[in-house]
Amino acid sequence: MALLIQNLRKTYDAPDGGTVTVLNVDRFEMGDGEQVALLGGSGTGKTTLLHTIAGIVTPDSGSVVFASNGASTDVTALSEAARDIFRGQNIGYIFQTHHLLQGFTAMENVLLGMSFTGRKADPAWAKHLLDEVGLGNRLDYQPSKLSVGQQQRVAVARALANRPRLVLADEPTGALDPKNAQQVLELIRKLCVEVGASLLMVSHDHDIAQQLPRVVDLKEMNKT
Amino acid sequence: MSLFQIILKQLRQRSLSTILTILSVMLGVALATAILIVQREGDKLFGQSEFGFDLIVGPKGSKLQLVLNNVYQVSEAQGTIPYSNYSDLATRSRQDVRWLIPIATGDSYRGHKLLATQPKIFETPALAKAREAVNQQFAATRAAVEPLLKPGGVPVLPVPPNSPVLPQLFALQQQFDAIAKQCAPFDPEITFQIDAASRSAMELVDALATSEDRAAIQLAIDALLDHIGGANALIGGPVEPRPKQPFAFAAGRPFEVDRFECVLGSEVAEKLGMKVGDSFQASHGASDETAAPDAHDHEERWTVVGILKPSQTAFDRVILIPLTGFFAIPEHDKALTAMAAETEGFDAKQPESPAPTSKPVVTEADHDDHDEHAGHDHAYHMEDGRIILEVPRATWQISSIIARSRDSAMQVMWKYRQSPNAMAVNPAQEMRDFTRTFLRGSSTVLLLLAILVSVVAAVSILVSIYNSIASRRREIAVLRALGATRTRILSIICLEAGVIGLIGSILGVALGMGLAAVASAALDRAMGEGFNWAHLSVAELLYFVGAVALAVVAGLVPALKAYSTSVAENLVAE
Repeated sequence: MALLIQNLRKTYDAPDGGTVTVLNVDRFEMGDGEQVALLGGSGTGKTTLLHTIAGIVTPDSGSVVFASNGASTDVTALSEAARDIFRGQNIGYIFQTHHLLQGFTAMENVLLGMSFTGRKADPAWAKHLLDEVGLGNRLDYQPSKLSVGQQQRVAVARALANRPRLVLADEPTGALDPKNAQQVLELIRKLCVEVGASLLMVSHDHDIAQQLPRVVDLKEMNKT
Repeated sequence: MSLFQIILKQLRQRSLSTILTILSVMLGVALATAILIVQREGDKLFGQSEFGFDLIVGPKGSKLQLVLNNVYQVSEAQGTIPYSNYSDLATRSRQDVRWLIPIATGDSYRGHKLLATQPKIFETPALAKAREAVNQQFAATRAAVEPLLKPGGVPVLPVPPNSPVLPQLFALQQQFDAIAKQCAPFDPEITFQIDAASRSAMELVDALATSEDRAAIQLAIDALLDHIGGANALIGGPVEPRPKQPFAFAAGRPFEVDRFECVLGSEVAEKLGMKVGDSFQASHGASDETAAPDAHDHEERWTVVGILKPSQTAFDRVILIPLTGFFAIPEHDKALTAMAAETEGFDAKQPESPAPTSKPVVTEADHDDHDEHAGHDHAYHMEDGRIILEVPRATWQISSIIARSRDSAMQVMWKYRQSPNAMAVNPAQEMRDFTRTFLRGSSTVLLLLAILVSVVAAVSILVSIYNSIASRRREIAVLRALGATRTRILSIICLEAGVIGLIGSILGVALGMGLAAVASAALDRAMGEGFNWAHLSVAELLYFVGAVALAVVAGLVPALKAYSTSVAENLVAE
């Protein structure tokens, strides 16, 4: 799925009464199946940009248009409920920390990702994903029984559960040691290819970002 | 995962809080369910309008106690009325009542009341046949005699010496004797009535022979025709503790009128393990279930000749004995004579003294007299195993009369309004009043309490889930990020509350029915009548639905909090 961002602006009220501009992107685009790294340090609006693309945050102005098979959708023009449904059906989200639900097993966390799309749950696909991330023998483990690296791999599997067209990864390796970080990154990339999803990953880690075919410096793109 | 699976997972994650909340809902619903069942069944039980009888005549006093004493066999009789009340009703009010029986109480056996009455309480084909025969005989006689005495409806006076009426009257008197013998085993009152008819025939003969007083002759003619008049000359029919449910025998037969025989209610036989052929000695006065089996006051020994099938009434818990046997017991005889002396001022040593007015048949003081008359000072003697009672009928005192009116109990009740020592009540009316003024009021208060408990339970659902929302904000944000809409989140929280309400309510209804079952068993033990606790009516089902709905509404407050959870803020907050 191709993505086109134009004239995206987002400001917040500052405690001193003024406003803080966190997003000011004139134009950004990525092609269908493309894997792009947004490189940026702390406070460069990485997470806000991903939230805006995912429809979690609404911008002050601008558009975020998804195009696929000749049809296009501007998420900024959708109602909140429509954005939620669009996100559930088309976007997989990987957080910096796994954000797994503690009362649920690894398998259930992945199935949970399928619960809000209106489609039928596919336990075989969920199991396949967990096999792919190396947790085929940990299906019934609750997050508290898994290592941090394993938890993040479950989160990767959950993000791919709905066969999304775009995966947004917010510092997915930020909380991992280098070895685990490398493994997780490779898994994300591999699975995105497998499901045919585009990948937009933000990272402050130059080495991680450089492994993706295209790297965009967020500081240059986001002129705040 | 389905929404329901997600909800169950969430609840399991907070299992302690969930269980405690479910318990609070359960207690509220249980209390309300039990109260609603007891209220509903209490209305049916105590406010029932379909007793097998609609009249109870007893001593002046508490109407409610009279009903409780006669319908539910609880509490002691509040006094007595002369037996003449029964005789009068049986003859003078026969156009108003379908059947009636006298009841006398005072003794017990191992906690079970001895209820003295007439054998006609058990309608048998033989009794029905005899009664029918008498009525036919009377009707035929009246048809033969009336044209002679009152041709064209007007008495012909004086009756010529050669009139066939005199031989007819003599023949009639002989028929009366035969009928009396035929009916006596079933209903002594029949004998009494036939005696009265026979006497009126003789009085007419005397009047015709000796009196020139036309008015006296006319009165004698009317009295005779009245005694032998119509199909209802002798009243009777199946005595029904419940409508259209006469007593039926599981074993044995009715007791005979003049033997120390008894018939056990079904529960008595079951509890005491007694069977036909067993015998016992009754205790004097109030019942005491803890009394030793062999403890007794009276030396008379009662033999079980029959066991009744369950009637689902308090009659299942009593022992039925013949009235003759009851009055044969010396203590009762002495009490009668003493009371008669006290109330009427006549000499207690004179057995033919007039009937005493309303006073207890037996008193606690009588216990002191047992030894002095044991085996000797009897009010009867036995001939061929039959009781020959030496107590004059005029001194008989009974506890009550139960009767079924022909059309309305009001007519008989009206007649008793002016009576100085007796009253007539309609048990259904009394129980309806009792239910309305006492049961319904107190159970409504309890129901309000139960509703309050349910509201508190709903608040506990609210608090429990509301508190959990604070720690679940990130979880909710993750669900939103996975595509859950705000409405879906609202539904999940409300359904969580609904599931708590549903599980709590189901358990509550089960517990409530259990509580009602315990109440039913206790009532059964106390009054011989339980109730249908296993049935849920619309009221209970509505309460159930209401409790679940209330839980859902209670979940709405935390659900709205969850609804407004900021996804962006909670996804980054760590």
